[in-house]
Amino acid sequence: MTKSVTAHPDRGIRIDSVRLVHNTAEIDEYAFGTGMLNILSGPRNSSKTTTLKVIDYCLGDRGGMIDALGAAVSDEYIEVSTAIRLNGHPRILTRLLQHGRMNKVYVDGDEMTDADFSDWILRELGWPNLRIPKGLHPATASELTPLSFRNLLRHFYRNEESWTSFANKEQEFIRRGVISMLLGFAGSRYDTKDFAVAQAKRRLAEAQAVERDVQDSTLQAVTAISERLRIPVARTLDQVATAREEVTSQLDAVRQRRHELTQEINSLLQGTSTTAVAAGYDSSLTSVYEDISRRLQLAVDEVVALEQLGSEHAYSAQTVTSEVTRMERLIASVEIFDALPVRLCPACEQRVDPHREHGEDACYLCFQPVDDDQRRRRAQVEIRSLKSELADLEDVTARTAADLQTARTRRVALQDEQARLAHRINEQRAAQLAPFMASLENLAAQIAQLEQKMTAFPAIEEILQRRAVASQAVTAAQQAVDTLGQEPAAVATATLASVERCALFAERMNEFLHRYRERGWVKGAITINDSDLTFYVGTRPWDQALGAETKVLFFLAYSYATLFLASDLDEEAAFPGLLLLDNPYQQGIGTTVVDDVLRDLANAAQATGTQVISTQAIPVPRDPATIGEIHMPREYEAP
Amino acid sequence: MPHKIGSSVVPPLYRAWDPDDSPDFHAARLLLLIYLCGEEPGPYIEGRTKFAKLDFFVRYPGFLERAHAAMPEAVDAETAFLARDPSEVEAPMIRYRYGPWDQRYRQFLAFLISRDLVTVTSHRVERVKLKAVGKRTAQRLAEARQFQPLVRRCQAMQGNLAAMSGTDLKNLIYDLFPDEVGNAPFRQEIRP
Repeated sequence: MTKSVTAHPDRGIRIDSVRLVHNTAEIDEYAFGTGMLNILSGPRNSSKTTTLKVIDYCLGDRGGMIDALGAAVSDEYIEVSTAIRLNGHPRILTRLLQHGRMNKVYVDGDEMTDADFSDWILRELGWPNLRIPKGLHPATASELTPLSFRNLLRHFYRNEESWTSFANKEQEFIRRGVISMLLGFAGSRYDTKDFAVAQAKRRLAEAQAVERDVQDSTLQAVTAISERLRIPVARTLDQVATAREEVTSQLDAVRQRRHELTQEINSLLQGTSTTAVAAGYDSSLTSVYEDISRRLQLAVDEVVALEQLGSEHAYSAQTVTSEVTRMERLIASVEIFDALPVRLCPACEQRVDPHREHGEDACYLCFQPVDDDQRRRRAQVEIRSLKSELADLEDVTARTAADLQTARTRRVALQDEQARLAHRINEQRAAQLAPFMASLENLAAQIAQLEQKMTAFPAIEEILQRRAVASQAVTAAQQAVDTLGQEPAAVATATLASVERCALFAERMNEFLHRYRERGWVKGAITINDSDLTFYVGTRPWDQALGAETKVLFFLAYSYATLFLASDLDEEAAFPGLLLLDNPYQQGIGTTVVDDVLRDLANAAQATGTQVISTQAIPVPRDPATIGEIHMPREYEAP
Repeated sequence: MPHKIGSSVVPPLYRAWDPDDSPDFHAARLLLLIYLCGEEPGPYIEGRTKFAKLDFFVRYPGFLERAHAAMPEAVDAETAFLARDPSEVEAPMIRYRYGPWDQRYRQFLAFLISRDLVTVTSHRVERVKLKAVGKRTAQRLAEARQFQPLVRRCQAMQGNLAAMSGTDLKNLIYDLFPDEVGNAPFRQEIRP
């Protein structure tokens, strides 16, 4: 490497400390140094990885608390926080592990949703907040998607799942976006003009398809309607207006003719016509008809009143009959119980002899004075009275029935007379109106036909309007395409071209890997295609050229090179200045190789003023100037 | 020996005599009711509530017709009772604590007990049971022409209303006749 290295301690992200608050209010706090490698050491289950996860969680992880930190940690702690510096400015990021607050990040105590956090930290770091096409090719992508801080973090926080890929389960268009952002040419790469032009052309094509469909269907519909109603086939709204005016004037003329004819008929019927009265017409018939109608109404009212009276008489007779039967039941009851004298005293509940000695006119039970039982005779009197009332009712009912019969006969006679008169009047009027009927019917038919034509015009206008709207949509879409085509392409303002940036980054990776050529690395050199950002090892793409162990070395080199982004490139690069490595002893890579790698990373951190935080369970390489060890104090039970 | 009664029992001629004022009139109907709607062996009717509710349907044929119309699952349309005059009232009742009631029931029962026609025993609830003389008397009443309207009402209740408990009858009456009975104030005369 020939380029000189300069330190940028106040650019990017640095972790000062991590703090975990237990349920018991005890606090675990770990401080980290800058310009060096910080190693979290300790046996298994001593919270090494958890500490990195806490940093990750404080940096806006949107997953649930249990997903992000694990159930054991979620149960153990109530709050986690990370003291960081963003471009040299200290901030405290806190997350509360309580239900209802878990989707919030507290920045220096101010609440922020995890969704807003990405925008905020990108702004603080001065990194572009881009929306990139959701697909490999801008021209075919259907929408834009944000390139978030979390996407970038996954390239400098290498957890156990991401030692053989850039980031676990990362989509290719995101990977390209992240690398172009790290290397500082995302702004020019994702000038979204291509996407916008493609989008505008898609909309134009859709509008044209709709217009074609509308043109065909409207023409068919208008032709069908016009032919059926026998009106000229209109192609434009002006032609529709002309046709409507013509039909309206025809309709007005026909209505005027009908009005004149109707007036003539009315004057004829009212006897004010100047023309001669039709032969045989008797003008007194109407008044006779009115008289008959009045008398008929009186007869109908009389029938109704008599029917009601008859019904009331019948009801009264029924009530009296019921009274008679009740009285008869009383007599029968008295007769039956007469033969059943009281034999048990209700007072003392002892048997009583009805023949016991007692006065002739005294009760044999209570000795009170008694008389002969007159109830049957008395009841007979009541029955006779009721039957007399019943006879009166029958008499009056019979008279009412006779009156009703007479009234009904009169009503029928008057109805017949009224019908006969109505027939005569109708005949007379028909004779008078006969000369006009053919004309009236003809005019009515013409009006109906013209009104039907009139109802078609709004429908035709609406159909043609749809065609106009579709044409306008095509014009607007075409204008959008033209406007975008005339816009100048974004002018690259960066001092370095993308090809140069890729070359510098690859060179830094090669510098690192050169030292391991005899210790696991292959012969091929790294190159990066600045177009699709594919990393090549020799002539083959990295994922085809490398095995599992060499992939780990590849990503250690990738991580190493990110420490030099500020030194090798310019202000455009998204320089994290931070590496988080979770247990780099992966895929059987030799322990001494990893130890040397860690020393290289520690030296690089010192030279560039960056910070590396790594976890490992095995003994730590000793170099107090560049490597600090944080021994985890507790060992927790395995879950 | 000719039967003699108190002179005030029969009202003077200038005042109409309502059969409702005579205990004989009610005693005959109740005897018939126990005879035709009672349970065997007896026959007997258990519970004063049931006794009064069945009597209610005998006294008010209009309510009997409406009750049958409301219980098609228990009464066929062919056998359902149809009142000749739904507004007819054999003898009025009042709305009291558990529905229709007549304050003179105790007097009517005393009338029957003193003539050795029924016994009133206390089992779980009061039970009114016909004695041998009562059965013979009820049979005579059932055969009498004047009592045929009441016989038809009692026969119509056999197997349906007569088979229900006093509480079920009370609930049925409250459900079917809320305006006439259920929501009426206490002691108000019930009108169809």
